[in-house]
Amino acid sequence: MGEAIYVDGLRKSYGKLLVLDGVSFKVKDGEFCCVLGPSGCGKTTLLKILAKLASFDEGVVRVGGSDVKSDESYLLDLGVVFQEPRLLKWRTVRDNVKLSVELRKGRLEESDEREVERCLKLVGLEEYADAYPHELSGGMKQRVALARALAVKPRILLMDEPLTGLDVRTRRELQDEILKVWLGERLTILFVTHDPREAIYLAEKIVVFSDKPTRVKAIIDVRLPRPRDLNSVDALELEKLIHEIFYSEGNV
Amino acid sequence: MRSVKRLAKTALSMATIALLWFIASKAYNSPLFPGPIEVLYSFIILSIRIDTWFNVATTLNRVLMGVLLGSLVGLLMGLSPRYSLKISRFIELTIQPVLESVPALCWALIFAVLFGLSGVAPILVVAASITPFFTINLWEGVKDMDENLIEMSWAFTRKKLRVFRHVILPMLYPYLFAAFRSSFEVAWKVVILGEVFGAVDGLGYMLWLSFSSYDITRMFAWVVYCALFIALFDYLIFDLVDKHFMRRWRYG
Repeated sequence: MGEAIYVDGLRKSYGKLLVLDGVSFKVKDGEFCCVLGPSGCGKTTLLKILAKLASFDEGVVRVGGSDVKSDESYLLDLGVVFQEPRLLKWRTVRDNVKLSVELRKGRLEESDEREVERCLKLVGLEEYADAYPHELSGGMKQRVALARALAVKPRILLMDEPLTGLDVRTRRELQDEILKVWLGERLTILFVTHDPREAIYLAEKIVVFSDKPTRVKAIIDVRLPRPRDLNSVDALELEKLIHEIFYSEGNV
Repeated sequence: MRSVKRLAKTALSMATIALLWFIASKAYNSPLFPGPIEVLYSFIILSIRIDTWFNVATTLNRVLMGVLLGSLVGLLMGLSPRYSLKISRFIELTIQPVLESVPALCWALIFAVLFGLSGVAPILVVAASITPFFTINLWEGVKDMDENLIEMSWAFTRKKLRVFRHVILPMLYPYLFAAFRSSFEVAWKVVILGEVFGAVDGLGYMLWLSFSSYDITRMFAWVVYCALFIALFDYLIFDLVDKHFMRRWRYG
């Protein structure tokens, strides 16, 4: 199994403020990896670097085997879901999903149209295809954003705290939705979150970040059976371990 | 029902204006202030003459050409802050204040001197007068653009033209619409001025001709023509476009 994401010694500063201080981790092909860290620690910055939306100062970053600094070709294999749905209010749900394909390929072929419909069905929004964003709930909007990212058939999906701000029930529904997509589409997912329970529920691997300047405190392989019960003894022990790592000094 | 009510209200206010005009002209009792009935008669006579429609078409053509030219310059100037802060600053400090502060009458005289009675002057007067309106409207749009949407687009493509076409331009539609609307309002007014000094045809010239030959009733009829065309243009084009298309771009 190859490496979908390889990050080694990544450093990034905004002026004098050092944000990422020698961050290193790997994500295997087809793996669901959660990056877990406190708010404002630089998780979103990391994701932007991976999506080539931000530059970095030092280190080696490879995505899909391509060096992020010198090769843009990997971007064609990438889908991104942001913290806010970032939908175009003048487009219907269907047209918002089409947008990613229009941006990537210029125009849609018949197979792309079919793919858009499949993605809408995958996230359970086929009945709302002609609705406008203002007619949708927060959870539905995030589903549209997920479908939009999937419509370009990515191999690697970057998700930046996409469930923040949603109620508990919607969060759980969407978490299951994302797991279904991950298993069905055989994607590599890098999911950024600040919620340990969310990371335990979703991930195969958790990369725990420290507060700024951010370093990797621990990399945890999660070997819990699915569907996961967050109240099981193993899950609770893992949650306790993550809390200990969070509040510990130095790397674990 | 609502449109019938609106029509009735408009008709009532027009009738009130005509009545007040009638009373005032009777009170003034001078050939220099004809009443609405004489003007209406002259208006009808003008309407059945083919050269009237030639003059209307000439003026309309100049308005369209002037707005096209002014909007192209305004578009480039309005979009400049997005692409070059230096150029934008230069425009803001030099070109924009000049265009804003020179009255349309001065432009009319300058262009009449430069281009004579060839009919180019009214087009340039329109262009010079609307450019600042267009630029300011577009500047507002550029300032209000949602950078998150643009960042989202970059995650799917690095082709600037596609981002411009699918995301930036639609974000600017409401501002472009407002820019065109205010440009046409200004254009209709200044083209008349331009034609008085720099043309031998068009509504402005006919107005001037009636004035200089002391045919005041006909002059009033031309004024009614001008007012009618400005109102009709605004209602038939902008009101209807606003009602049926612009809502979607503003609110979704």
